[in-house]
Amino acid sequence: MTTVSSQRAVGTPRVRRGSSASSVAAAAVLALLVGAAALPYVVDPGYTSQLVKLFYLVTLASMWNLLAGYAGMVSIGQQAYIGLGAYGIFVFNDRGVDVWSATVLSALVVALVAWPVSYLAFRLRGGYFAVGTWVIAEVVRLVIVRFDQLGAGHGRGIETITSDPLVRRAYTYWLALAVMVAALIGVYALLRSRLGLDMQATRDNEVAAVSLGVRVTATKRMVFVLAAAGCAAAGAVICISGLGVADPGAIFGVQYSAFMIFMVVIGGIGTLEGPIVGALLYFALDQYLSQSGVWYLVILGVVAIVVALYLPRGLWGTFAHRTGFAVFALRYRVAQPEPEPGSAGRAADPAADAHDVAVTGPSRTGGEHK
Amino acid sequence: MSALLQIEGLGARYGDFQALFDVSFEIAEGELFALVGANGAGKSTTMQVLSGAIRASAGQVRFGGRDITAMPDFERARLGIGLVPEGRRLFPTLSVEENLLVGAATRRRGPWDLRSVYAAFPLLQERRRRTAANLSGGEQQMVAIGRALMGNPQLILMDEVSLGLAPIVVDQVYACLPAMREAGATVLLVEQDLSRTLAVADRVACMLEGRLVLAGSSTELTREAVTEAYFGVRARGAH
Amino acid sequence: MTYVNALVQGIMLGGIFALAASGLSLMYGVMRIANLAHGDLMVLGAYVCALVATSLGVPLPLAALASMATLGTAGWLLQRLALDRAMRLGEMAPLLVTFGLSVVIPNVLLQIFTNNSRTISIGSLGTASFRMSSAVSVGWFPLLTLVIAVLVLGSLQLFLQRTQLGRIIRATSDDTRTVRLMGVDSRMVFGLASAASLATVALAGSLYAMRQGGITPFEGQSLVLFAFEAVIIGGLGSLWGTLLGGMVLGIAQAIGAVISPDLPLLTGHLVFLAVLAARPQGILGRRLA
Repeated sequence: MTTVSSQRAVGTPRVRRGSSASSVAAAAVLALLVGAAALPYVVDPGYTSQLVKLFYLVTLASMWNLLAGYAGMVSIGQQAYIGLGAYGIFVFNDRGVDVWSATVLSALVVALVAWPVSYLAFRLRGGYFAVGTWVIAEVVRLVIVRFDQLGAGHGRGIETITSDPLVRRAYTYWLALAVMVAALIGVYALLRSRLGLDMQATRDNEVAAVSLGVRVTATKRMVFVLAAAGCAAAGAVICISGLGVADPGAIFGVQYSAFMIFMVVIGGIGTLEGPIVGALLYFALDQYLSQSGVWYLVILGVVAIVVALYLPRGLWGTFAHRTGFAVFALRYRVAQPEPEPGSAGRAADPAADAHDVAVTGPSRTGGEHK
Repeated sequence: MSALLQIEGLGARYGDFQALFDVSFEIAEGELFALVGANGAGKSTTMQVLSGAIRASAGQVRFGGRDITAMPDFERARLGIGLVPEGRRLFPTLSVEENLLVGAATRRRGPWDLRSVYAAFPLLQERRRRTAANLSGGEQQMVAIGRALMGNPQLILMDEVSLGLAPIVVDQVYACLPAMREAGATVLLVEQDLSRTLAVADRVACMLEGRLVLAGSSTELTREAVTEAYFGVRARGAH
Repeated sequence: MTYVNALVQGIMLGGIFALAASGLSLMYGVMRIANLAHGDLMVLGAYVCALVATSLGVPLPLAALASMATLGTAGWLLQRLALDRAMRLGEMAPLLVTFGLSVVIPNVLLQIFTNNSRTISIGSLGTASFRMSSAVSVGWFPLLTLVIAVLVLGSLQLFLQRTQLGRIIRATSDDTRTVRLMGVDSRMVFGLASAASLATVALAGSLYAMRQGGITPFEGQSLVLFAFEAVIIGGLGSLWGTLLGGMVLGIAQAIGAVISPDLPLLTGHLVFLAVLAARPQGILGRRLA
């Protein structure tokens, strides 16, 4: 193996994670978030309530993307944890805990539940795993509706919550925002960590990953549990913003999986920004089309199928692949230094494959090929 | 004798890696043509391009005078190019007999059917009901050859049939060759084992690092010349 | 004893589950595609059967055959136009496509037919029964569906084991790349497998609707779960296992219904999870899912 620098006069290539463009974008996102936090002071609560929906959609989409796009597990049963998160609010709130703390507790408890469930679910793979998650969601629903304290089959409201609607809606908004930010930061941190690298290695080539010592099952289990916790937090938000659960069939319904899949597939599976883009798109469509009843579900379904077949990276994913741009910098890049002294190193050609760091020597004899 | 197979300027790549450079040779009808070379020399890649499993990136393949460079794999089999794949690749859940019968999916007419294959390979008849996964390496190799024959091919590509087999078993495999040739087949034999190959082949070609470096009839080429070409001793400096 | 009756009812119910599941097994066995729209396709088959029977005045058996032909063709087209491409993109794409279908199909049906039950009347055959003993009564139609299920599964098995095309299909399932080198156009095999899969699905859906007296658009969401559960309980890679799995599931649901009318779904799912926990390869299974 030879290095590139042998022919360059000045310096060696630097390996960096971000680019200047991504730093700018990240700063913009930060500014956006600060602005979002200030909104309840500025706008009518009607608007902020709408945004609550957007925030939990982003949370759900990120969680599904974490499972499928990074860990390779297609789940159509996350509604189990959404519902459990929602019902957890009742359980803790009834015992005197305020709903905001109850959200955290709910998420933690659901994570604990998801741990043993993973042992069962992991006995299946691929499409059968997907159906298995759905069956588990159904079982959870069927069990929960047997409890009268939880409202049985007809849902129930939250017992104790701030009576001042303005304060309540502001707190709900901030909770939703906090949950979303926590979910995004969590996913970002996870992917930048060793665990994230293990996960992506497993997704790309499981056999190779195992041979390198990646503990595949433990990694997947961790992701499964975290995704469950994230979905539970979102479910708690849904419950609080709706002041309860109107219909257990809805909160445990498979349509949540459908929406999550739409958002992630259309936005861009396997990228951090994709689920956000998908959620924004779905949110916009939902605002305008939900009056047209069932046809908009059909349209979404058809679009998802077409995108899955012809634009498999999704909208953002295709854009990011072509330009190498990322708001949340994840990939390593080789920044070639300028031969002339005095100029800072700039990022390599963005169209080049960002993770191609290894440089091969000139003479390659044969090599493994089948 | 006319050329059954003509390869001109063949190139092939796996992603960024160029596996074949400008490979050209011809095989006459009824010949047994051997392609030798070390591991990674490009012999199997050549086989895969010929069978249609991978596409050529450059050059032309002509079979019976017809340009088949762009033809998909299953059509080539129906046209008369049969393959005994590297590693046998039998259908593991099917029995010996079922594997042979699937070989007849080319629906070509010819001397080979279940009865004649069993006549040529009595061992297979003994094992006909056994599941392919439960056979020894040598038995599997015979089934693979029989399966290719069932397709009544004009040209049989045999890809490293001695790989992983004990010498005595390899002898048995090579003992099939005369029967095949008698029935009129043309054979392209790809091998690492030089001695047996030189003994049975009419013509030999040697590959090194994706290129054809030596070709000629087995009578005019000396053992030494082939060995040198095989290892590329004369070719270039050490790597 | 009512439990013995439940056992018998469960066995017959299992016939429908098994018939439904056999289409699933076929698609997974040959193409490794887990068809998440399976239940909704059953429902579609039922609607086609009902439509043909009522608007064209065709007798039910013929209407069921028409449904099989329609869905069989749709299966061929689905494979050639969408699933072939999805298979090349990776393991996830077929799941996303079939899941997308499972959203589109019931909602389209809802728009066209509303959520009211679309009736399929089999007249007196629906309630006719005979007594096996003082406690056990066997409906003629459920028995008929079980017989049909066994016949279809048996024929499918015979076809796969004894015919050249069946051998080719099994070989394609074993090793697609190599079977092409033997002169087989694997895309044709996939198309055929999909067509056969959807044809059995149409039959299962039609029989299911006849047994119920009607069909609604969203019933597929439960049916797909039952079909998958039957396959897993019985074991992947074995058609007779699927029959057994269907019966086990049917019995579990029937016994649940005896204990309490709101229990059958739960008992069925719990038995499935129990089998998954204790014997993941299923009763007659040879490989893990």
